[in-house]
Amino acid sequence: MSDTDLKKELQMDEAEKLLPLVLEILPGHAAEGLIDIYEPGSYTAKSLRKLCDKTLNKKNLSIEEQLIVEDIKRQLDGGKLLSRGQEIEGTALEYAVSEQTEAGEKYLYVPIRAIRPQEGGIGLILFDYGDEQ
Amino acid sequence: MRQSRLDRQIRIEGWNQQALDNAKIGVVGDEDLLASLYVMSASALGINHIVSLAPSLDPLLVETAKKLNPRFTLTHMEGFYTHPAIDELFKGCRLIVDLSHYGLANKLLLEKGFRENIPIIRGFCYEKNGDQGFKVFSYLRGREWQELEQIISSSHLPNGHFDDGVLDTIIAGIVLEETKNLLMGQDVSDDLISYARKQLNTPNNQHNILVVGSGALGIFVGLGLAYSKFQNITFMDPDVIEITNLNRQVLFYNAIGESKAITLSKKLNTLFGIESNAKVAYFDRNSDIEFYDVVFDCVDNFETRIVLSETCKDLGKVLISGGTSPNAGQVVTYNPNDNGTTPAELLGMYDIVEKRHPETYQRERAACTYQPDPSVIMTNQIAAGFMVDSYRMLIDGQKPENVFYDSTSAVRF
Repeated sequence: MSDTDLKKELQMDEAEKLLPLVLEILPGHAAEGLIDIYEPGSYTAKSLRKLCDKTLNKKNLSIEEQLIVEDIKRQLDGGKLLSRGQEIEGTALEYAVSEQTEAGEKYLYVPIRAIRPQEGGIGLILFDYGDEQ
Repeated sequence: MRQSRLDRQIRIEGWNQQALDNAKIGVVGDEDLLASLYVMSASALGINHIVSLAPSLDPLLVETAKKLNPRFTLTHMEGFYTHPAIDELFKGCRLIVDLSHYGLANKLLLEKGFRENIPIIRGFCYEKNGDQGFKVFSYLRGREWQELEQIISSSHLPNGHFDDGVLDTIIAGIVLEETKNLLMGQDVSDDLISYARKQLNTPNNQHNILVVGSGALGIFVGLGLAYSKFQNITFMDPDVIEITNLNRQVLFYNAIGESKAITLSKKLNTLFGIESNAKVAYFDRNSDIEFYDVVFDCVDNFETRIVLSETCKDLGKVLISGGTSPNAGQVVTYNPNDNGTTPAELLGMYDIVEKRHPETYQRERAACTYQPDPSVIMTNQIAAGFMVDSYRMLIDGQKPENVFYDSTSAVRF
């Protein structure tokens, strides 16, 4: 999506801020992630990062959801949560795009990816600075 | 010798080099770089038998393919794939790679793939309605999907077409990855892999460019910059070439023991007539980058990446940072005019390094020993291609997005 397209999508009118928010946290480039739905009024004042933490700490997950959370945590071991390749700062509304279901119900969607950066071709083994040296 | 050359990829869990050794691959191409880049990369990966049908192949890339891999054999027939009678050429091929830009070949090959149950991997770049990009799709019998409409070239017969060495480098990497997956019995993408951006205007090629790291990423960044006609490039690397580099560091086949930076600079100067030079040195906090307009981060460790991020931020320099593993990679662009976050900040490198060893990240690299990690050519050429393309977009006034590549996902990036 180009910068202009993104801006267009982000220019939501006030009515859209009353829509439910669908937050999806995906491990790496997986097609499916952990989905959480926030009702209007429950997300506007909270930072996106806090919403992500809340979603990742959800209880009573299905087995599929538990597997996704495990994948996300593997990525986050040395990785970060990013939205469209950028740091997540601010509120969910700053990252949301307006979408609608096949039945025509509108909602706001925020995709977050847990991305683990790649280092390169050679892993460092640091010298052991213990007593023997 | 062969074992050493392929050492870095044989280390990958589940890797089946024998499947690559024994395979015969068909390649249909045009007179452009794409088929040649694929042939060279396939040879580096240890694919030993290729049969190609194309009006011409790039002599430099073919020579490189032959010198990299002593077992490599190439049967090249000059011409176009315009009649099924030519099928005989591809007898015994495990799969066919279609890199052509004329619809007749695309259709004949899909029909052949369906009839004989041979996978067809299709990849090409295009220019349309002010956009430039590429598409890759792996056709297997049963995938008679709507995506096929998007991979048939609009021109029925061979014709002049858009070509770009940088996009070709990325396409060759993705197509080779799909080739490897098929040969090793692994999943191939069931999506149409596609990339598009606005058409580039003629760039100002007089920028002063520093490429830090002259390994696999550095080589493909160097090639991409040369294909894009950039002239003033400095390559910086303290290391010498080892035989285990040769499964991905394609230009170093005859320079074991020599400096990477000097060898890369000399090769590109000879091959492309550019004016690059070399610095045999580590990049550290004392490195002077005032002269350069952009720095390409092609190093292999987070510690140096942090120093690069901080130095470029302090001096207001554009930084294009790339990193790879055998199946993933990322390209992060730092543009000081946007006040964006640096790659080190965005990717959380400080935390990673601190957790690794809290007190060591500022220590000299000389105090470390190295453990080789697995590495392959594909992710390096893909990430390097996106690095160069990101810079071309930036100087064209476009805003490149950060790219996160994952070879295990259907959409890839």
